[in-house]
Amino acid sequence: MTERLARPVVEVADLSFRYSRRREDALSGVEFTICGTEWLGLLGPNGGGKTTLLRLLLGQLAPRTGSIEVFGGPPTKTRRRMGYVPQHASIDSSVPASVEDVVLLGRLTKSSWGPRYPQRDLDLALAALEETHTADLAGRAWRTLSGGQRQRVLIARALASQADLLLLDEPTTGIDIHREKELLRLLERLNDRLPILMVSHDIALVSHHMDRALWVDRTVREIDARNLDSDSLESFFHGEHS
Amino acid sequence: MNQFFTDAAVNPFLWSGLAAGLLASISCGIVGPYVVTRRLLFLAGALAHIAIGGVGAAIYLSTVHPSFFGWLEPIHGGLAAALISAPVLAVLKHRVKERLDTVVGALWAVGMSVGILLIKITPGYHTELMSYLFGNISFVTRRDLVFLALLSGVVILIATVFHRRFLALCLDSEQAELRGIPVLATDIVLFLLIAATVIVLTQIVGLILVIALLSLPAAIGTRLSTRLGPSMAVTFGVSALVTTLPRIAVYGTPISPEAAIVLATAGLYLLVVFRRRSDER
Repeated sequence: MTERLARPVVEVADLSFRYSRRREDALSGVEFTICGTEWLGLLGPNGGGKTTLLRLLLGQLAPRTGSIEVFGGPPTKTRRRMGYVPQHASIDSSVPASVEDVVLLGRLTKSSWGPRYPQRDLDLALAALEETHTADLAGRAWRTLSGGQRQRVLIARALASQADLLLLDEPTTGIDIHREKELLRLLERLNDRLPILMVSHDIALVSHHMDRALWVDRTVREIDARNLDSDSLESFFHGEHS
Repeated sequence: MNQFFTDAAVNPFLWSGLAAGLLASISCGIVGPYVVTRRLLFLAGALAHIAIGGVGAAIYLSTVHPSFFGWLEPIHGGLAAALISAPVLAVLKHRVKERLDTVVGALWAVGMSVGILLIKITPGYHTELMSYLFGNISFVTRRDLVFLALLSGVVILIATVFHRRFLALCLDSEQAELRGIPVLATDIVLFLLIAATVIVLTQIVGLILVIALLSLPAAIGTRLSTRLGPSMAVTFGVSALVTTLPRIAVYGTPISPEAAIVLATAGLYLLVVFRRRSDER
């Protein structure tokens, strides 16, 4: 039991990935682990492979070589235990849907048939909205929410799925400083019980909230997030760290 | 308007036309919001035009081989062609990443060409194609009504069973996939529903105008509602209204009822758009 508990949440070994019809690997030699309730940042230049790495972890892409284990199994088998929070733009705002409809997507399963969700799913969705302090928005139309509200609701959706790991793709993009602080307080609270892997371009955010980060630029390099500043980041951009 | 009700007492076709409009409104109300929110109108248009190939085949077979295919109505051929091409279009939508419109446009043109070719080589003169193209709401038979009712029943049943999955695809297909929903298979079912609805609506306003009836009531419904379920109810209401009142209003005038239906729908849509714009100011 102890051994099972001590097992890393995410274990990536000698991973490489190449998109079809490309001559070069998008990622290669990737190795890292996430243990316990770690909050890990993913930093790197645009096109460096951050989103590709997230998609590999979610099982949407298959590695060319190497292995990925999440909760001790391949991502395609365990991704239901992962709560993915995309940038809020991924939800189609033109669809007439309430906040509750969006959160209930986290309760969708292969056996979801019929027009309505069972009461248990409705209860879990409401509990997730309460945990993210958005229960008062449940009946509101998704398209009327601000960027900050949308991010909190998407986190509620991940929580409604009873996720054991949160994967966030630039959750603070496009929201004001006040809402960003609220969002980070929420993530801090959730991090007491959940490991978080978060893509971010914000050095201050990463150095303040995380001990460790991964620099993703075709390969992955582990960096000490606590001492991160703009100068050290600049040197990473120019590949001066080895 | 009075003349409509006076004549309706002795002409059952007038009531059949209204009943057909109401039946078509059910499919339109359910499927229209999915089509509009998923931005599938071009693909729905392709389904309608590819169906001409099936209409042509049905006319050809029933004329040239009446002993085997005498029972075949043009609408049966149209439905078969639309149902066969629906999964093909769904697969293309998922697999073709570039120039999807070119590929779909080619299928659209090929379907129409096959239909026109088959009708051209069929002996005799055939008015069925005209009623398929421009609608024939004034001559809906009892048999047509039974066909429409059956098709509407199937659409209701499937949409009820699949509603949560369809909504998930409308909102966030990536999340649906991550939650284990087979996105392509679900889209194939949705495309089959669209195909059935296109054929139902073709019976009312004809192929030329079918896209207007599939899109405009749903555009109104999705604008006026904050959830997909209620937007279907509004879409049904709008469809029922526009397939009934304009038909009665232009009765006895030279105005085509099919054109009146579409123009009334477009007018209502513009009214809703401008009303909402002025509310937002």
